Amino acid sequence: MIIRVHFYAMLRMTTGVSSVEVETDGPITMRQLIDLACQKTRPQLKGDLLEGPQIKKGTLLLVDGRNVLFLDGLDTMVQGDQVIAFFPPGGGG
Amino acid sequence: MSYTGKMLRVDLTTGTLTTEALPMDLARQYLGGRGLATKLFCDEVDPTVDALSPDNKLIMATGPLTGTSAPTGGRYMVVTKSPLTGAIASSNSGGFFGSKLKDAGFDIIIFEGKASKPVYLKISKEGPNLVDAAVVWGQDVYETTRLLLDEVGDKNAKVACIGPAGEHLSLIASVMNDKARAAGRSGVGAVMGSKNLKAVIVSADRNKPVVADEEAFKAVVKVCQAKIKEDAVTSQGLPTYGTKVLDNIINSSGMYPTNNFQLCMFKDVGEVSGEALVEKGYLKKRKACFGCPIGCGRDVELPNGKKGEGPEYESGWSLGAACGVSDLIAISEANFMCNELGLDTISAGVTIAAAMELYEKGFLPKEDLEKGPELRFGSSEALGYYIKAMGTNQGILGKKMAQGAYRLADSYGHPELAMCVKKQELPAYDPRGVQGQGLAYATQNRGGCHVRGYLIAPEILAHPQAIDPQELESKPTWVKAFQDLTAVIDSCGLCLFSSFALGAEVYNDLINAATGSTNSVDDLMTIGDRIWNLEKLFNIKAGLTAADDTLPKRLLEEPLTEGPNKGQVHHLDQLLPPYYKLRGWDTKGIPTQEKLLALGLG
Ligand code: SF4
Repeated sequence: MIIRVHFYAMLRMTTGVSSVEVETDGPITMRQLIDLACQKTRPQLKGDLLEGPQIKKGTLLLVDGRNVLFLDGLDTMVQGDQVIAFFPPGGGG
Repeated sequence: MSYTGKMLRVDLTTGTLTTEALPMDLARQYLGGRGLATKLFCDEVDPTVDALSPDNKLIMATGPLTGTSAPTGGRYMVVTKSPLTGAIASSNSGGFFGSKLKDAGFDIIIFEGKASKPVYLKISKEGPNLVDAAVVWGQDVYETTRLLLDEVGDKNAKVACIGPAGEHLSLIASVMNDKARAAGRSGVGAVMGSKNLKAVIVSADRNKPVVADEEAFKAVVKVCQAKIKEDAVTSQGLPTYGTKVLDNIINSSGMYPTNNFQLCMFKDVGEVSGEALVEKGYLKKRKACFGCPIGCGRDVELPNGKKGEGPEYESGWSLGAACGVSDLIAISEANFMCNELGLDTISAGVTIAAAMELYEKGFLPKEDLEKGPELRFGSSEALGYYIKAMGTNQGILGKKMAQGAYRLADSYGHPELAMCVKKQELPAYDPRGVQGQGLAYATQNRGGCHVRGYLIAPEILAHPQAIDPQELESKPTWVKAFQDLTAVIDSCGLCLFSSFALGAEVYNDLINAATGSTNSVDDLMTIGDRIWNLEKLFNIKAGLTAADDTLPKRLLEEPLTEGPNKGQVHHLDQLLPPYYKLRGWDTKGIPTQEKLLALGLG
């Protein structure tokens, strides 16, 4: 299955792409997806998103528009038919 | 003490200018800016006054931190009774005008009465005086600014003025300063226009406010700077992409109102987002207000050579997705045009969106378009045409639209199609996807507004911590805390965006060091609560009731049809009673005597 990850704002600048596709045998966890996205872009991506075992403050990992913090966190299962979006901390109004 | 200690009273009817001492006892209770100006206003103006009559007053007010070295300390407020909402209006703006006013030796200007012919107020080294404004009356904001700067011969002077929209008493006219900075909301520009007051120009040398404890102040400023540098929002997100970093976040979260809130996701968001503004090369450089290390402002040049500032997130949305328009050039031009005409961008866009829905549903007859283009969602031609019409009060529709979305929709028998709270147009977040933000919208003292309780921060941006946007129980507490803290920030003269990095403790340390106060954080939050309740009392006396603390029917009854919040409506009925209780108000939303006594308002 192909899972596409969309990058926004600074993450587009640092990875140099607006999205990346990773191939898996089936559904995987968000944690695994981050590892695979790192391999496809740059190793530092993980450090951009996570602080140790946790998602960095203000970083948004959305699965079909839902923040994984309100799902199962980094254990949230993801699959190919979902829209996955990664945002660095953003603000405004 | 970081105040200049002086305020200027301008009687436009008689032409008399008087310098008065700032009432320091009130400054201790209300800080300055929004709080102190509201207190002075409430003491002097009958809440039932006709907002466009000479009996209304208009106050421009800085805070104790305006003009100091506190980061983002360039803000001032415009406080008056709103002709749009009939409620208290207090519009905040950045740029350099506020700090310049303090350089000139005034914390506050109170305008009263009405001039017999157009005038502007000139404050220079020779002192303040009123000048005939014939040369700038009728001119747009940019031209007015240019002409006045030439006139005083000081290119460092700062101008706040109205454009044609304010002159024509458009109820959605803004007061603009430094050309593109807006005290935008609630029709404060119309109040200036009703007084025949075109502009204020201030020419003064730098005169840094003297703080009470220089060493302590310097130390807290250092802490603030470090925090702003550390925080990813204030050091990266806002500087790089400006507020438009939000387009994709809010759209992905399924709460980016599209086609007048009929939809909540915009298929063309990629064309109009903050990322697009950068990637298409329109963004030339970032811009900062006085003393601001964040610099969220945008200097933009379009491929057709047109230059200007913005659009910000709200303006880009209201003139974009709200009207279904996906042409970033047209959106940017519409934004420039609003700034030139002195029109509030949120209100202008949401008014056009309402007109488009009225037209598409057959409620707005074709003959009312006169020679104008059809009001179809997605039409950039209609966007530009009707902004000009409403900003210059031209034609049947231009005149109606200049009164805002509510009066426009009501005139066609469908007020429910106006996406307004208290007759003021709503900003760029669909509350069906964010329950706390919806409660904040409904309870805003100044009507539809997102900044007086920006619940998007915790509910969507996970800042300072993440709270579930659909959860209800904790929301009244969050909303009250955010509303009270924002009242403090607006009153001390800092920018709300500083709060992504700073918390109540740091604000308290700054204010104490600057003013010599010895407030605790609880005392400071009580000041915020006091300001909120004072505004509420004004509104009650002006005739607003609990029935005004509501949202458009669409948001309460029509479930979202797509995205992560599909099926959701806003649950105001469950949120409002506990919010009133928490505020110490009765079931009708009226502050109890006990509450008022506790706040010193009894
Ligand atoms: S953050 Fe933006 S709006 Fe606020 S003071 Fe700085 S430049 Fe101005």
